[in-house]
Amino acid sequence: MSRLLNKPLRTFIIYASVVLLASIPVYFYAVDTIWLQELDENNDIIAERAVYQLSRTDFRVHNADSLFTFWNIIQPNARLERLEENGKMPADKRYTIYKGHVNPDYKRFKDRFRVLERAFMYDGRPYLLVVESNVEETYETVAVIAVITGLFFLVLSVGFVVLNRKMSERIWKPFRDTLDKLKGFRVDEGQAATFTRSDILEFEELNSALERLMARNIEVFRTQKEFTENASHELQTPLAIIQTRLGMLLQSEPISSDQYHLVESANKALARAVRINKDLLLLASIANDQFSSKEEINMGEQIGEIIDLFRQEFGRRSIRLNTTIDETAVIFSNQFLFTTVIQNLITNALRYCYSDGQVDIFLGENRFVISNSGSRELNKARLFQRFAVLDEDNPSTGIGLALVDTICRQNNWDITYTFGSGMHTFEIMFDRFTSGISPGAV
Amino acid sequence: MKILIIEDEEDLLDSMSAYLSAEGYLCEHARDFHAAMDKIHDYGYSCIVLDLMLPGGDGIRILERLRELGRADGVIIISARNSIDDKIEGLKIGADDYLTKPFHLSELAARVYAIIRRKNFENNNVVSHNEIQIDLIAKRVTVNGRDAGLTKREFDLLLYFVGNTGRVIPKSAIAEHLSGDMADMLDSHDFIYSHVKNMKRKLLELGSGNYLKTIYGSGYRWEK
Repeated sequence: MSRLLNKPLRTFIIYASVVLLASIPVYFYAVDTIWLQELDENNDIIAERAVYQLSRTDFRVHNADSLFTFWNIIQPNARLERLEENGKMPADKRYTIYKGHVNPDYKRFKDRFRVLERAFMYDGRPYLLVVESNVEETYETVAVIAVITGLFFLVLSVGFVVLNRKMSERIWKPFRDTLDKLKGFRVDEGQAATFTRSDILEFEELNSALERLMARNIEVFRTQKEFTENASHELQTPLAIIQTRLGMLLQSEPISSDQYHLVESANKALARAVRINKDLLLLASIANDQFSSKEEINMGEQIGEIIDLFRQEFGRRSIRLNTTIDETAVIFSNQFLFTTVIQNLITNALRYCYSDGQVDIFLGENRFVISNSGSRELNKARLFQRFAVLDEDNPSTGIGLALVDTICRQNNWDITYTFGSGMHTFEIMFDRFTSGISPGAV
Repeated sequence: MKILIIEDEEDLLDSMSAYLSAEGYLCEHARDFHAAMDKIHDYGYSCIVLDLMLPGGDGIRILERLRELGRADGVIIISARNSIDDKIEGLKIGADDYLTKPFHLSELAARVYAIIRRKNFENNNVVSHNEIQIDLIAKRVTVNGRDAGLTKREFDLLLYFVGNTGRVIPKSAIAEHLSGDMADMLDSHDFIYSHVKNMKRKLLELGSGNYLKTIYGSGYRWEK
């Protein structure tokens, strides 16, 4: 991905190079035309002066032929020729010729000359004056213009880049501030970001729109949280009544086997309702930061205890359990939250693993990885959402992973889910400032 | 043994009272804060089951009052507030146990049983059930004087059964007792079976009677 300002920069540079390239022939044509015109003028002046001077020369003193021969010898850039006498005087002729140097060793290249041919009468006879002026060669002009254009192009490009960088630093600073604050914004922290004021209209509009959006989000989140909290609180008592009433029903004598099993299945469903309710309350409590007390936890020990509890379940369903536990790994965290995360991940693995499958549990210095056999990838987008149906054949309370995710985020633990070679894998990278090897273990 | 149940919810109070009465306890009731305060001033109880959210005042105040009066009544807090802070505060002020609503009646009975036995036998925290001796402090079980070598979990289970002697205990209640919040996370409650089986085997091996009966293929009853 390229930065926003680099996009126009590239276009600008391409545009500048096109314009400058196109300017080379234009410049050349202009310079060359001016050259030729100036030289024509120059030739005119020379011719006029020569003809005028000649007309003032007394031919009786000088022999005209010898005079002209002499002229031709000493004047390198003008030549006098006698014309045929046919009573017509040819008009002026202007043209360009290339010819080598008089001394053939002197120069390899032919020089370009601008020529003026003018007929005039001298002593009653027609003569032709040919004036030649050296013109800069085409390739030399083109080369010089190209070099200069190239230099300007370089100056322009460097200028664009430097200016762009300076501008992007200055102009985009408030935007980048906004972006940083937006990245750090968490709706559950209940604190809207305050943006740096900017004198750029668009940024100000963006900021105020974002501020409104955040305030509204926080408000919606707060009401939703309160609703969940109140609803689950209110549910506690009726759930408690149902549970105790069921308990009483079991004690009423005599009770048939059918009645017992009816009560038990009601108990089971009730336990699930209770769990959902508890998890919802727990989510709210975590959001309210009610688990701030922290202590050093021996992760290996805790995980071992939880695994112990489920060991029989692994056996019953013939699930192979491979554990690699670093017994010395510790973490400074809230004990309850830590075990909640591990419990949820382990039960999750157990629930979604098919019989005769495999569950791998790994605990390193600051890393916990749990994998279980599975047939297809879970829906990553909805994985950590509440009540997400991840697997239609295997419904759950749908809060476990949301709870895990909330706890991880609150503790700066990085949780990722991957699916590969038939294994679902959840990996947690613990915050390295709070986890590591127990100092006593070294 | 007298128990005071402080609870404003009529249905809940009724169930708890009925269950505990059947265990042989004498249950008294208080439905609001002031009634509860009057009761604790006038009488002593082996155990008080205390709901924190009461009409007329915070249940924590009742706990504080008990301690001001220098009374040693056992207290179990039952609260809808599943907050760790409440739990810590309650236990700090002097509650003996904390149970979050909703709970199984058998769980409540087991806890009441344990608290009363711990409190009542100051220097001798050993509960006897025929040839089985349960040391509540050392968490040790002996049968005919020989250590049964129960694990912590098996010890808890035994206490749970003994605390609910004669009652039908559904498997769901045991599952919750064993795994705490995790019981419902598993589709089956079969994992409790092996725990119960191991405990039973250890006791039988030392010559104890077979008191634990399986009911309807999945529930249990500990018989006298």
